[in-house]
Formats: sequence, structure tokens, C-alpha cells
Amino acid sequence: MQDTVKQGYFKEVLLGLIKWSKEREKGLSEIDRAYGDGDHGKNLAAAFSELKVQFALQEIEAPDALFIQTGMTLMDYAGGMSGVLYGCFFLKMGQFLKTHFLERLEKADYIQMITIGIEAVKKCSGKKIGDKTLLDALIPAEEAMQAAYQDGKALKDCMKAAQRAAEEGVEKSKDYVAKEGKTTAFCDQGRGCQDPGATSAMEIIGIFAQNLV
Amino acid sequence: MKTGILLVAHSKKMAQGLSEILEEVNNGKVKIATAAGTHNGRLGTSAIKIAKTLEEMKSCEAIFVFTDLGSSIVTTKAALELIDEGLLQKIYTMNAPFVEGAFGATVRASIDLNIPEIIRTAQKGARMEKFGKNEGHQ
Repeated sequence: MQDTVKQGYFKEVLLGLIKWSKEREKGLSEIDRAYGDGDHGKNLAAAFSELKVQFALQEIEAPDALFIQTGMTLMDYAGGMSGVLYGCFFLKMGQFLKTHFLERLEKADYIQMITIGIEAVKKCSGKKIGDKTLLDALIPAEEAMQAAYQDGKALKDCMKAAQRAAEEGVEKSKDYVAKEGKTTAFCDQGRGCQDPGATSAMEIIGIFAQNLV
Repeated sequence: MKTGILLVAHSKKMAQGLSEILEEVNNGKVKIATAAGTHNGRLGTSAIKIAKTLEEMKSCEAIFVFTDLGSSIVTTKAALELIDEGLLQKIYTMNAPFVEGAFGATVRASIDLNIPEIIRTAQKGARMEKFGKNEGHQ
């Protein structure tokens, strides 16, 4: 079990996300359609397919450049709330990598990178847990990851813990009631439905975890 | 130096339509710009596009930003993190309705750059009683 992350990891995560966004386009939009406008999967797929085009056009290998490019593309092409929030997530992680990735990323820095990304989403959205947003998955993920890290667990196990906590967060999001946005126009405000943003966030954390060796 | 009005909207057509209306009451003192739709022309807003448009407006003395729905507000906030401090100082994000707010602000900004008055005029739109009360006609 190695506890540093090499350069290739970041591109693998992004290629995984490009593939995922295509595969899950319909599924995520379906979840969104239950009480929203049904464009969540479509918005993410639009941004990630653009990212695929950009990767084909230019060779980007440096982790910071890759994540900054991903953040900017999400902000520029996705359109909805997911674009700007996941955009902030990748942009802030990319900015962190600029100063902290030196041939490899140490475990402590990886944990900090994810924390910075999730904190950026919190700040940008102004939302908290229970608001029926992607934070319903991201906040428990961050807490579980930190707890596992404090226990001295291996990096992969820290991220597995994050993934499990995010899955539980998605389940809990079914009981939450949306406080603003399109959802509030529906009388039950999405009660009983899982949040599409929390769902995609859980799956994204999963891809970060799966690509660790 | 001009006063800037930036329209941030999900639909390019909607922003352009409002921009046309505003130009009708603009006496040349106001620079009206739009940042609407995504980079590839889909419905939505782009923090990158908003930040670029604000950069293009940097010669304005003050810039008032009007947003339409939900995510355009968060997107605008994210855009403000992408621009430099000097430009940021000139920007006013408006707690006002998109159409009535921008219209009121343009009219008031055509007189002179009185920032509290422009904000007040824009916000009046939020309390507008269009029909006195809501009525159903069957």
C-alpha cells in the first residue's frame, strides 16, 4: 500500500469522469426529473464531453493544469448550479496542486486537497447539510475522510470511508426538503426523492477513491 | 466615463431582448452588456463568461449586475472570485428583479452616477404592485 499519489492519477480520474458522465447522463437526469428540471446529467455530460475535446487537442499532463482546466470547463460549459459548484471544486483543488504537487502528492496533501475542494463548494453555494444539495454527500464524505486520516488509515481507506459516508448521505437526502430553487415550486419539495447533486457528488468521490492504488 | 449595466441570464435571447429595451432609455451614458448562456450556447450561465465581460467593462466607473434565476447568482459570485481587486471595487451585485431592476437602474444612470439612487431605483422594482392584488379571471 503506497500512500502517495503520482502524476498519472489525476488524468485517470478525469478520464474516468468523462466516461462516467456519458454513462450516467440519462440516469442522473432521471433522478433530477423526479422533482427538478431534469438537466443534471445533461449539464455535466456537456462539460465533460467538451473536456474530452480539449484533452484531444492539447497535451495537458501537469495535475494542477488538468484540474484548473476541468474547473474552468465545468464553469463555462455546464450551465446550471452543478457547473459552477463542481467548477469551484476542481479550480480550488487545481490551485492547491500548483503549490503542493511536486512529482507526487503526499497523503496529507491529498487529504487537504479534497478538503479544500469541498470547502470551496460550501463557500460558493452558501448551503449546509440538509439543504438537499450535493453537500449532503460531500460534507459527510469530508468528515469520514478526516476521521479515517486521523486514525492513521491508508489513503485508499480514507477515500473508501468518504465514499461510504457519501452513499449514506445520499440515502439521507431523501428525507430532506429543498429550501430554494426550482424544487420549492413542487408541493412536496422533493421529499422522498434522493438529491441528484448529492448522487453525482457521491459518484465523483467514488471515482477519486477507485483510482487510488 | 460610463456606468455599466451587466445582464446575467440563462438565455442569450432573453438578455439580448432586455438589452434592446434598455437601449431605448439609454442616452449614451450607460454601457449595457450581457453574459448569458453557456460557452457552447446552451441555456445556463458561465462564471468564465461573466468574468470576461466584466473585464471588458473595466473602463466603466461603476458596474451594476442583474441576474435572472437561481444558479446565475452563484455563478456571478464565482465570477467575482476570478477578477482582480481593482475591478471588484466597482461592482454592485443587485438585489433586484432582472427586468424591472435593470430598467430602473438604466433610467436613473442616464441622469448621473448617483450610486445609492441607482440602487434604490432598481430595488423599487421588487416591491412593484402591478395589479393592486392577485386576481383570477374566469
